[in-house]
Amino acid sequence: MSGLLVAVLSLLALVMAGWAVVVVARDRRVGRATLAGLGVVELAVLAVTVDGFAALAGGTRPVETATSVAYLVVAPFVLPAATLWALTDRSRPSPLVLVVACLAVVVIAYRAFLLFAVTQ
Amino acid sequence: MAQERRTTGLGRVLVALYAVFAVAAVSRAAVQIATEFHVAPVAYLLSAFAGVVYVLATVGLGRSGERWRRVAWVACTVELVGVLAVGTLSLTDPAAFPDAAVWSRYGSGYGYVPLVLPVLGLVYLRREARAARTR
Repeated sequence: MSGLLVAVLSLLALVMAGWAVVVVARDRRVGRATLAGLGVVELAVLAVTVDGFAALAGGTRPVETATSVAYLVVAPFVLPAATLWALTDRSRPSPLVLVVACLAVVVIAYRAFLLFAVTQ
Repeated sequence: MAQERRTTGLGRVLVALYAVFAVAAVSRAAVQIATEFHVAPVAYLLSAFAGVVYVLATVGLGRSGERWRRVAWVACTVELVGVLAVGTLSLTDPAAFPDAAVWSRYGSGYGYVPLVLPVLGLVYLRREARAARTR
């Protein structure tokens, strides 16, 4: 699994998390620009997922294969779920849900990366 | 009973955090119990239990109304007691925990979030209960 890809995803997700904080601080709501930013992060998530499954297809066998697959399967759903949530709740702190989701995505990607590093 | 009101604002952030932990703990425990239960049955069963408590807390905090608030309150309390008890046990009797559970070493493997989360949950519930009383 590509460490560079995970690093890029982490960077993008952290930027997006910071963005969400700014949105709340300025008392704005999730708008088109935020959605575009989330779209970019989600693309990076999908890239990591595809990369992980490609590694599995290519014969890489992490010691904890089941857990690794679980991480890859869950990852793409985190941001869409949080986005939906932030959009349906129009209260001021609602974009903070995106911070949680972005950090969760970073943790998931990093954990998957570590799991893939330990192969049988 | 107070009118039905969906959890909003900061409460939702809390629910989101809980949801992440519920998914993480339940799936991790499911994998561990399914594939290597014999290695550390106590730790894995504990993780499964922690997962169920997180699910209850997530739903309890996410719903409104007196009954759900009570569910959330119990779940958060169980969590706090659990993380403190297991955290202490894992330090004093490491042999009982050959593999880490969510609550081992006060949740240090998860950035101590398992320790902070129930405290936040209880503070939030207390605030909500007060707000409900004055409504």
